[in-house]
Formats: sequence, structure tokens, C-alpha cells
Amino acid sequence: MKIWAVGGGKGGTGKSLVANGLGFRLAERGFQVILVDLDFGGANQHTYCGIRKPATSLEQFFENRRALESIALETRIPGLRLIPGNYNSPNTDSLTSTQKLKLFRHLKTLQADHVILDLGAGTQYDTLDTFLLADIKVGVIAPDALSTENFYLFIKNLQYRLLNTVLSKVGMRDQAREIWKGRTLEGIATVFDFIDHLRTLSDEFSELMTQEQARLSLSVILNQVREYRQVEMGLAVKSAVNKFFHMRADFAGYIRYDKELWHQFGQGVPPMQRGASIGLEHDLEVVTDNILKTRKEAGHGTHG
Amino acid sequence: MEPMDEQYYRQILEVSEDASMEDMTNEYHRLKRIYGEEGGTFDTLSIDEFSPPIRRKILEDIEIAYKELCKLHVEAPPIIPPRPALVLDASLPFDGAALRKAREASGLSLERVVAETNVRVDYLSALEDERYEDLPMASVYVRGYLTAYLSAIGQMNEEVVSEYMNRHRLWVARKGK
Repeated sequence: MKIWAVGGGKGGTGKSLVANGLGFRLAERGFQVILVDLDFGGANQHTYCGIRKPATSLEQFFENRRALESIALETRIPGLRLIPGNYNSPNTDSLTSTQKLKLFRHLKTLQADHVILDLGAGTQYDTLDTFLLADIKVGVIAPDALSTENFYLFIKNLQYRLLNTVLSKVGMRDQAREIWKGRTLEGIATVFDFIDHLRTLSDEFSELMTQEQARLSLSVILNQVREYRQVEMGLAVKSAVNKFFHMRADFAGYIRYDKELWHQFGQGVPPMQRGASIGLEHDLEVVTDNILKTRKEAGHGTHG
Repeated sequence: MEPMDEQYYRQILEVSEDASMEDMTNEYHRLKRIYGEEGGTFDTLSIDEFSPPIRRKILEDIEIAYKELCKLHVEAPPIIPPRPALVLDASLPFDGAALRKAREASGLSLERVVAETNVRVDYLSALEDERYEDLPMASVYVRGYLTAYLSAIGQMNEEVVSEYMNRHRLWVARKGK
């Protein structure tokens, strides 16, 4: 089973749409797919699936009332199920660490070929940890400066979060904090200088960091493309993630902006359903192909 | 940067192991645009990782990688294969993806076809993606670009042209409704 996470920092870039599209396209290829709406505080994946009032929600799982698998609802696409988010309950914008660990444990046991996590905006620890958990990490950006800036910050926070996790595991958090305080004296400017410095202090840290960084690769999707010349932006972001953040990234492709899309929602038609939007259909097909192809070539590890 | 192996330089240029010298040249120019001439976009971001010294280092590495790869490929085999590797046949399901497949089988980049045909790259890629809305409305232009494209990749075939133009006509008809 493969866990996918769709994230990327800024709100409104189309993460939910992309997660939904990947789910539809994978299910059409005969895979068993479960979409999980983890956009706490902004859950609307059910609407993308054409479900008006979901009968279940993640709330039931967190309150220990139901098993995770049992709250997955059938959609109108065979093979595609949805675990709806906490769309009706207050105070759900962050998880306790017990809730988070429980969620992660249960996600890995879901009976499916692909589990797709739709993450919310921002760089909260919950979001970053969930993104790091995934086998296939998908970042969604829009072709504008605000979206790319937020995306770079998302990547940067991801690196810091990963570093902190490794430091905790090897018991070096306090030591690292002291070094960071005096970083200018050591000539440390970026998180990578910091990691290089820490590597010289502990073999255990160095080894674990190398392992974790090797798992860190990302597919970039450029959404809401209105003009062909914007496509270069996707390539530039992919390159910048590689070069500035030392993180393997590939450009999975672009998705054209569909100005008729708003209309579909009012009618309860899932925008990803065949025939609803020719452009979306085609672009998501290409993007799904590219991601699967890249993962196959890289021979990535999976859960379960 | 210490002298490294070819794979390392290819990684810096972000090209695959089977990329041709022409692909590498295209990629080199693209990276130069991103980090050099148009790199100003990074200046507006207050993220430490994008500081000018780091960008300078990236540009230096790109220059070295390209130079080293050029040295390694001076005596490389010709870029264009003598015969098309894939012959287009209008009896096959025929669409923009087939155009791209035929071009790639001929080992030609889109930029190379642009140079051959003098047709804008966005039009040629619209032909391949069947983004008809991005092409001029008059089908006579579309036919002209398609003919030039097929000639450039050595695949000019009237049946293929009419098959493709049928798809275009259907789209125009649907759009007109």
C-alpha cells in the first residue's frame, strides 16, 4: 500500500482538487483507493466527491467510536472511498500527539492500494508530520509569487521538522539548541550548514539524517495554469527545491485553469467525473502517470 | 567543485542519464535563466537559503557541469538519427500524443523543431497537447503548423494530417454549439 500526501503551504492552490483528481484517476485504473480528508478546519473533500452530507466523519474515529476503515464511505466511482474530515465539529484544527500517533498507526493498516491524504494549508506540525509520513509526497502550487514563496517556506519548515525529529531520536536536541544560539560564530547560515556541523559531532545523527533525507522526495504539480508560459514556473520551483533545499523533486506536470469549474459544484457533479471537464481529465491523467512513473523508476519503499 | 563523474554533472544540470547533448544545452540555458538573468525573483524572498552567495555558487556549479559535459561529449554520435524510429500511420488511433511520441522517437527536442520550422514553441506544444484553444482559430494555420512539424520530424503524411485535422474540426464544431 502507498500513502500519498497532497500539501504545499498556501491555501487556495487547489490541493483538495488535486488530491481528489489523483483519487479518481487511480480508481479508474482499477486500484482500491481511499481519500482521507485531513484538512482540519476546512474539510470539503466530500463535496469534490459529490457527497452532500457525509454520514460519517473523522470525529467518530478520534472519539473512539468507530474504526478508521469503517468510516470510509463509498463514492460513485467504483474502487474509490472517502474518509470525510471533521467538517462539523469545533476545535479540530490541531491534534493531540496521542490522536496523531493513533491516526498514523491506523492509516498504515487501511485496506487499499493507495491512500491519499488531503492536507490543509499552512506549516503546522500536524501537517508537516503527516506530509513526512507519506511514501509519495505531492506539492501543489499555483503560478504566482505568493504561492511559490509559501511553498518554499513549507519545504524549509519540512527540513526543520525532519531535523528536529532526528535530533530527538538521537538525544541531541539540547546540544543542537546551544549550537544554534552561537551559529554566527560557527559560520552557520542555513539549515544545511547546521546539519553539516551536527554531522561532525555524531555518527549516529549523521547516519539517521542520511536515511531520512533519502526518503525525502517530492513531486511538484503546477495548478491553475492560464497561459503556456507559466509552465516554466513549475520547472523553476522543482529546480529550486533541488538546488536550494537539497531535496529531490520532480515536476509532475501542470493542470489548466477551468473557469467553468465553479458551476459543477452547484450541481453536485464531481468535477473529476468523466466528461465534466475535458482539460482537468486530461491533465490529471498526465500528472498521475508521471508520478507513478517517477516512483517506479526510483523504486520507493511503501507501507504495509 | 571537485572533479566528479558524469552522473554528478548530469544531476546538477537536472537531466537524465540518456539526455542528449542537445537536451543538456537546452537545460543549461534554462537553468541560467532561472538562477542568472531572471534570478531576481529569488531576491524578493527573504529566505536565507536564497542568498546571493548561494545563488552564485549554484551558477558556478551549473557552468562547470555544462563545460565538463561538453568535453565528455565532443565525439559523441550525431544527435539526429538517420531514420525516424517510429513511422506515423493514420490507421492508428491518432492524436497529439502520437505526434509527441513520433518526435521523441526521432530524438528531436521541441526546441529543435521550433528552430527547423520557425513556429512558436507554444503553438507546437499546443499541437502535441491538443490544446486547440491556444492555437489560432483559423484551421488553415493549424494545418500549416502541423505540416511544418511533420516535415521537420521527417513524418509528412497527408493521411496523418487529415486525421489530425478531423479531430480539430470536431473540436471547433463542439465549441461552436
